[in-house]
Amino acid sequence: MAEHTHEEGHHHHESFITKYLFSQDHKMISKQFLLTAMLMGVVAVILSVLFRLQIAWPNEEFEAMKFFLGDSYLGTDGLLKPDRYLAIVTIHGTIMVFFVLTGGLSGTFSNLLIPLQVGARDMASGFLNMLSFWFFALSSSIMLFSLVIENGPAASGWTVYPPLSILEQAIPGSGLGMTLWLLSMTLFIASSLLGALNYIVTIINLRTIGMKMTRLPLTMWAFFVTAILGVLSFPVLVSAVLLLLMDKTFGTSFYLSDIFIGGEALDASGGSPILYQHLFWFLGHPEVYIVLLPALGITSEIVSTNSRKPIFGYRAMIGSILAIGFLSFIVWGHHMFITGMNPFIGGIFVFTTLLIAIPSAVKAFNYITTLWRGNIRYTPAMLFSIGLVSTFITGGLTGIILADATLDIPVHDTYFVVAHFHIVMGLSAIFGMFAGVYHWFPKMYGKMMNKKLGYAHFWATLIGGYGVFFPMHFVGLAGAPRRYYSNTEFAFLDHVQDLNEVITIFAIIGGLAQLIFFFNFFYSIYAGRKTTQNPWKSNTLEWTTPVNPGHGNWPGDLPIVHRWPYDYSNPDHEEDFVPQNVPLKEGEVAH
Amino acid sequence: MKFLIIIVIVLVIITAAQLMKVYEHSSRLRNKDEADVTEGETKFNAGMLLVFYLALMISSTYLFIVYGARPGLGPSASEHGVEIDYLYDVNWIILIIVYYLTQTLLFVFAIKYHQKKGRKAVFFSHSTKLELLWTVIPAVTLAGIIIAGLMVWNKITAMPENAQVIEIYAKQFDWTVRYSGEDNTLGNSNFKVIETNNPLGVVTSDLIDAKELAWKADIAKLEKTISEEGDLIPDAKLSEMKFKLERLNRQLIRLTPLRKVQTPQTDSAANDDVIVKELYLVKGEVYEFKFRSRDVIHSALFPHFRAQMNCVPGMTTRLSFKPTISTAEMRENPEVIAQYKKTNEKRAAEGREEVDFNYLLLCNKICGASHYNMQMNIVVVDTQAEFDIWYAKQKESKTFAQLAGLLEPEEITDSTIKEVIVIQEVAAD
Ligand code: HEM
Ligand SMILES: [Cu+2]
Ligand SMILES: [Cu+2]
Repeated sequence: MAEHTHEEGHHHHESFITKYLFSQDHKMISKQFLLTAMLMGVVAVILSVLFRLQIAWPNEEFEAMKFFLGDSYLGTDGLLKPDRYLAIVTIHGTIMVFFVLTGGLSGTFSNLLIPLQVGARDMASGFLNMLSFWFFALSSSIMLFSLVIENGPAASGWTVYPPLSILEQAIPGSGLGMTLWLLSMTLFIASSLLGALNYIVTIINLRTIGMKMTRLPLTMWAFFVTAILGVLSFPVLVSAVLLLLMDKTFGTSFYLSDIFIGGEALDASGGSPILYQHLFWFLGHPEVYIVLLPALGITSEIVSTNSRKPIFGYRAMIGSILAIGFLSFIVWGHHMFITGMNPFIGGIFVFTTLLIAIPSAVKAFNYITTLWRGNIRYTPAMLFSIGLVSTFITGGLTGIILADATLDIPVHDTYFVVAHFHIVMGLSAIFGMFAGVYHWFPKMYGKMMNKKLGYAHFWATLIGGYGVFFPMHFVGLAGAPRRYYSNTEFAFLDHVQDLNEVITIFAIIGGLAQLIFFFNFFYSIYAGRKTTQNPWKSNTLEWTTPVNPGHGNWPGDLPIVHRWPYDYSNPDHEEDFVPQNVPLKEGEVAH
Repeated sequence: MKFLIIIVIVLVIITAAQLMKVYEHSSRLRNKDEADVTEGETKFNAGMLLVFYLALMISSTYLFIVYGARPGLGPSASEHGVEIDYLYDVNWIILIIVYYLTQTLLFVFAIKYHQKKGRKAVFFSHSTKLELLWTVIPAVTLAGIIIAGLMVWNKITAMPENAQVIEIYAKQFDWTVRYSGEDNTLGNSNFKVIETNNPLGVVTSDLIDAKELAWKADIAKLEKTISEEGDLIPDAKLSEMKFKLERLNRQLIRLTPLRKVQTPQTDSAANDDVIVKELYLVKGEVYEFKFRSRDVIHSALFPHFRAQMNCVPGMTTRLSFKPTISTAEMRENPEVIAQYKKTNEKRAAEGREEVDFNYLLLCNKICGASHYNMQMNIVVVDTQAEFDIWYAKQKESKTFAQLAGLLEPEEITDSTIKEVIVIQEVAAD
């Protein structure tokens, strides 16, 4: 094939180090992000299964605890220590939100897809992109390292609210563990910002000829808005984190006031712990969309391709991504309804928060309509996308309860909240990530993943996921607070203990199901079937590159774009797909 | 042991990889393309989607019915809680309808339009009418939800006049209650004067005087030791002492602003405060709770009363509610009886002691190792008379004046004054 020689010609002489370690090729960096996130994900899942064991059977010893955590996490009675319980919950949450679903999701797919789908040879700055990964790797290592230090890792919840996170007297994890957490987070944010700036610049400046903004695949729109959210909100977290670090190490009192602990009155005065919460959630809420939007973007692409239909309401989808992005900045107060906030301000946050439900509803209905009268191909990626839509609906609906300050009062900080955000992030966003891996694996590795294993993985994960997080709502409604080491101290929580046991059993099933995925993933890298150039018969530009694109992506000239990405089953054409680089037929009007 | 487990895992992986190879090989022989979904696979997944959909609908319905009504909590025991519960019911009905409807649409379409040979999807890219439809309908529904929610919100967050004022004080890991006494006014408080006998740091002029004397004595003692034996003390110890000295001096200075706000009224407001470890309330009375914390953020969750408020160091937060069902009445509620019977049967089987229904206050903000066990009992009595009996008993020994009396300021004053004089004389020499 002529293509082949071109491709060959494009390989520079690269050493192992520049090719695999300090690569500046966006495709390699994307794989690096994915593998790191998978490693972090394994740690976080194991931690979650361990603390679920503790919740379900609080008085039993488990070999698994000893095996994974070691003796320092266990008390003399062989049970997990209460403060270490909080520590593993904290690290689980931190890893999942930041390392898996922010670094991992955006890092993998923005890197892989942005240049390929806009028709660019690489990211605007390959060097910054490489730095972004190495900051991420360093930050991940520090977070993991904090698990094995003497006094344990940070243990004040993934939100690290002061004063708990500042005062070592209050919990041992707020010593060195917390300092490492802050350090790791600072590096993480640096990584995110470098990445996000690159994504934005690349999408704005490096689109190929004909790739108007209104011809961008929805993945690009989602990644674009995600990157903007990151650039606007992460710096606020940096400042919050640095002020916290100063309170901790230099004795300032931004967040401290009137504290008496360990038998003495501290000097700190005039600070406010609530200030931290405002700063944190100013990032924290956009963050949940930083996690979710890329998953939705991926789903748009996959649902359309595999339904063999254009995504329904392309422009409305862009509109809702923009609306969600904007609104996500003015709703943070819904995390603080019961901090003593002025009820009038609370009312305003109720209003803005519930507004977000409108663009979200539009998106959900548009996905459903895309399926209507399609010709649906059940690839594993498609199944995960259907699962995403289902969980997105479920999680979105319980969000309406939490957004309503009145209804939030009894369930705030209970397992109802844990159920809600896991259904949206722990299922929807993770499903989006899995869908993405199954769909673009051929582009990443030139091989196919095994479909049958994919099905097994999907069904076990969907059943495990719903089995864990749906019943959890009712545990919360019955008044069970989150971050409780055990529910045995309150008789009224006995009524939901059977649910807790069921949840843990599903968690074990769901956790084990991931082994199928890992096996499939690594097996397929080495021994999977070779893929064809465009295995899913897709329209977007990444499938016009050779099977194993070299550095520079396209041998020869960049493709020229003539149409939008969703010409599936266009009646003017024989084939049920028309790639973006196919010129318009005579008399055909562009969409 | 670990080593063995790892070897087993490696063996399992190798076996699986071999099996995969065989499988791949055979499917290659049958010349299947991994990207194509076969008819068999389509059927399997369509079937699974159907089964899953049915299972999801049935199990959600089961959960809504069996666990939807907050088992273990019983009906709302406060006036505003009834409104919250009602609002819940209305919202749940809307949400459940939407849930069933949209999930059904999603799964039905996903199943019905599965891949078929010769089927070509319909090119249907947008419809302004439809999109408007599902912008407007959610918008209208949400407007209703927002308005209903805010109406209740404004009502329940309004602070009533003439409510009984009670302070609830949080620290790692317990709660303390301070009744405001006959004057219904809490005395001033400040974290700087916290002590074993004064856990809430209540402030009166007498207390400030006593503190001042005690601290002055400490300072004098320290100064004396440093000036006399400074050369003999190891450096580390010396600097520690100097640090302590500085801190005491700072604390002393900080007493001045405390004294400034004290008046005879605030003193008497403080002296009749009653400090206890249990919350007694009267059915039908309106209460205003004031929350403080001394160390980290805690959250006072009253699950039975559908009420919750954070306790934040450095500020006072407030919440009001009116209990409407007494503990005794709740224990006679058939729903509650049935639930506790079930629980007690299970507890008996596990060899744990039986329990009775009790109102409880929980901590609901992560606050440290024993966060999961930071609780306090709440008793709601039927009549003021019952309350009065209990309160009179508490007043016998737990007013602030009495607790502060435990500090025995007079005694300390006498001896410390003497000591101060002696020390000053020594220093003057
Ligand atoms: C095997 C799957 C998972 C299980 C069984 C699980 C379980 C849990 C549970 C029970 C808690 C609550 C602990 C508590 O508040 O006491 C929790 C916390 C959390 N989980 Fe997961 N989870 C899983 C996966 C995920 C995923 C995929 C995410 C990604 C977003 C995630 C994010 C979080 C966060 C942010 C917290 C809050 C941590 C905190 O309270 O500080 N989890 N998880
Ligand atoms: Cu939020
Ligand atoms: Cu607590």
